[in-house]
Amino acid sequence: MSAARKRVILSPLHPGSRTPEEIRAAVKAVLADGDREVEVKRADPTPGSKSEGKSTSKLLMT
Amino acid sequence: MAASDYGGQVFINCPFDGEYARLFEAIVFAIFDCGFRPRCSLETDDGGQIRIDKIFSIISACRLGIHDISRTELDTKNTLPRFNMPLELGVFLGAKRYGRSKQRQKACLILDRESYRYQKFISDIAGQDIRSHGDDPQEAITIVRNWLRSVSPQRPIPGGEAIGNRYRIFRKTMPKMCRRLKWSTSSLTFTDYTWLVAEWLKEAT
Repeated sequence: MSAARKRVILSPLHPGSRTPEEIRAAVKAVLADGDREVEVKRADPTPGSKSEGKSTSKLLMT
Repeated sequence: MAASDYGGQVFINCPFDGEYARLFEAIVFAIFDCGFRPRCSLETDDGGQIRIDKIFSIISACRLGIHDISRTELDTKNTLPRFNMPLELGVFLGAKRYGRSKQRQKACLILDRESYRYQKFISDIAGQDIRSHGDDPQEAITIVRNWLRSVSPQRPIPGGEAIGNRYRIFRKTMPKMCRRLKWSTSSLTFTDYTWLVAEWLKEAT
């Protein structure tokens, strides 16, 4: 995908039961929580721990 | 891109029930992720508007249409088939055939659960772009992605596997986002679901 033709995510036409700002805040908060979980697991070097040697960041899969 | 962007709007004609929800939600996600806007008759709840008029209006605003004709079973209550999907497909094809120049640019994708099954119950649609999803959300995502790519080659569109991976991540985080918004994941409206998908894609990708 070239930078000049970056894909744009469109917004729905009709309002939902929450404002876009409220939804955006909830999305950001959950994504930030996910990042914190990843950091905690990465900081756990305990041999044999579930996080040892592998990334737990799901977003990195993309 | 204008909100009324005709070329970027995709009309979805499919069953709106719990059994089909996993396919419907995957298709909606894929459409957003490809940079298009999904539209369907669930998007407004205007009691003053006659349902078929609302459908005419949405079809008129969309160059593209995805029609799932897989629901052919008889209703368990009244033992009659549901004809809404074939009717709306007919309206879409009629607009393309008899409409003015913009309407004649329409393109549609027809989905069923098995290849060539349509020949047994709606054989007149032979020659259209008909694909089978096998009731598999990832397959539906890939079919929708490939079709959008073919009808809008100038638009940047991610691969089907990447969209599928993002969709699985979105599904895992969806309950947490819904809890924060005090929404029930089992009873999300179409508009709330679409806003959640669009905002998540903007923030997470």
